[in-house]
Amino acid sequence: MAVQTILRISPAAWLGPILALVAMGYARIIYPATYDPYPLALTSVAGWTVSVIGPTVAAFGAWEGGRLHRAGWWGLPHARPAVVVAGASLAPVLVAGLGALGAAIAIRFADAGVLAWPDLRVVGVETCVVTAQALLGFAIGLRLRPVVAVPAAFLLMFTWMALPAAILPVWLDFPTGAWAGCCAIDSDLAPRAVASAITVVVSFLLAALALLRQPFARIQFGLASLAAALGIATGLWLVRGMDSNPTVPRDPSVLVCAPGPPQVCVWPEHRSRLATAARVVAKVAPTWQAAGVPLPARFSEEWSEVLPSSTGRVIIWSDNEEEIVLSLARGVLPPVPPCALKSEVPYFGFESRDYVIAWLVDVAGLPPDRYASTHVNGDELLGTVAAVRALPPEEQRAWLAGNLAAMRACGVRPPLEPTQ
Amino acid sequence: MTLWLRVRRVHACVAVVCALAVSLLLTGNLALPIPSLRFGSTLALPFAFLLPLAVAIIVAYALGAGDPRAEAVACRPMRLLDTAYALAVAALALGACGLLWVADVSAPAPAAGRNTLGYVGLTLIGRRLVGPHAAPILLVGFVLFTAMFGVRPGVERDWWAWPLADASDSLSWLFAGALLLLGAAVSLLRSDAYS
Repeated sequence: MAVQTILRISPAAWLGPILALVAMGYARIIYPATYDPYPLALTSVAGWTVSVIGPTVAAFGAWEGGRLHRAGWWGLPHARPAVVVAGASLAPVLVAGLGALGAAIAIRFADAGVLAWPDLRVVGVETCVVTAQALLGFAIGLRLRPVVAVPAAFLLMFTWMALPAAILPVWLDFPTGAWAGCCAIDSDLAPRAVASAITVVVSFLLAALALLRQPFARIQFGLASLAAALGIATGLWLVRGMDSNPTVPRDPSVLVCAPGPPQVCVWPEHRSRLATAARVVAKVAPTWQAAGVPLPARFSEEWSEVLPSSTGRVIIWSDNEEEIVLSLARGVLPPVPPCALKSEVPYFGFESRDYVIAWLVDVAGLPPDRYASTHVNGDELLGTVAAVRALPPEEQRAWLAGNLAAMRACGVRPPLEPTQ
Repeated sequence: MTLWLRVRRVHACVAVVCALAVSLLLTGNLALPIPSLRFGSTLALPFAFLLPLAVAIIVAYALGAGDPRAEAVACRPMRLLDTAYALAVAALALGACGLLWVADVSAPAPAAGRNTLGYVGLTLIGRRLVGPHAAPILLVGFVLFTAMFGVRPGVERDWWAWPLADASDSLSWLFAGALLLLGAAVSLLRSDAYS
């Protein structure tokens, strides 16, 4: 189709720039999973705009299909294959939809000041989602009158994209392909979520093909609905029981490390903070060791369900040295044991954490209220830490060991106050 | 008249009104996230505010389901009948929503009923403005525009964003009623479908 013709007759060409502006505006108002310059998170947030782009291209597609419906063209003998005809009609629609998606991604990266490639997995899935919804809209437009087809295509696709986000459990939303919750800096996109979204895309394409098939019979509406329903059910089955975000731990092989001991490892996006973090570790590690604190072999930003005991989990939020000490203090503490999430045996370790962190901060030489002042019972913390610090070193070690033991196991009462 | 009612898809219209009532019962206060660009966040748009679009769309479909050329030379007052038909479907939907409200089984039912009146009115106006095929598109576009730009920080909503108002907002009822009357008036005066 000639460009001039497209510009003259296609609503996608007229409204495409407006769609791009809306997508850009939308991409800027969604809260990301992280404010770090993590390309996957930025792409996912921008990709969430498919919840508006998809239904809109479905409506555009329905309008284009409506032209052929009104002309009765689809049922007539034609020289060009049906796919070529549909492709020619949908080309401006896809350009408008994918252009809007590209604009949303570009504005999100520009806002974050990140010059990097977007995550190709997310871009690929969103491209498939937009294409499938455009083709399904086209097929609906081909079989229903435009007066119903265009709004129906929009509302059906909008409901599919938005409704799962409004109901629980959260994983109902993952097959849509709109993943604003992906991903914090220590996590990666879950392959199950990708597989789930692709399954739904394939089912939408099959539903569209069922509607496009000639000769047409009413049963094809039933077959198309069945294909879409089966795809959605399979997509949901693939992500059933997932956590609140479609994520898995990020591959630790990309960590950037500074030599130790203890070694410090950060994600590439935090590379600029590594030197400061290593300097702080070199300063506080001997102090903590002298005070009897058992240090891990390395501090790392990696996340997994079960971290080895030789790794202390930290997040280097900034290159502020005091913030880094606070993060390291948290990394020194043992992880919460699985029994803490069950109610059979009481877990007292949560009570100990604040006291031990405040003590570690004090031992590291930071102002004593640096941690306590941000805490609700800050005065109590300060009083306890001052009392513990007044004890002889051996008793301080015993106090620390008692609290660490309470953090490692359930049913162990910590000696919060030194007099206890 | 039986044939005319069949052409005007009376069964489909009644079925959609029944589906509206059932959907209101099932969805309750469910709200869908939609970008509110002026507010700078996502807006939780009650699903009940969108459901009446189905009634307006089926009305647009029904009014365009006949043969315009044949109806242009009919001896019966087609414009009057079509307008009365649209008003009757809107009234039926309003009645269904009213019943749900009286039975105290759906809190957003009155707002859905009000929106049905306004949406049907907008559809009738849209048929005149942009033609019978595009009238529901204009309506859906208006609702989307309302959600995206009708709410801004510090203001609950703008005066023109009546579909987002609570059912207790009397001005929104006035808007919806006025749009229905205006739609009926332009539909009676002249309709492109018969020209």
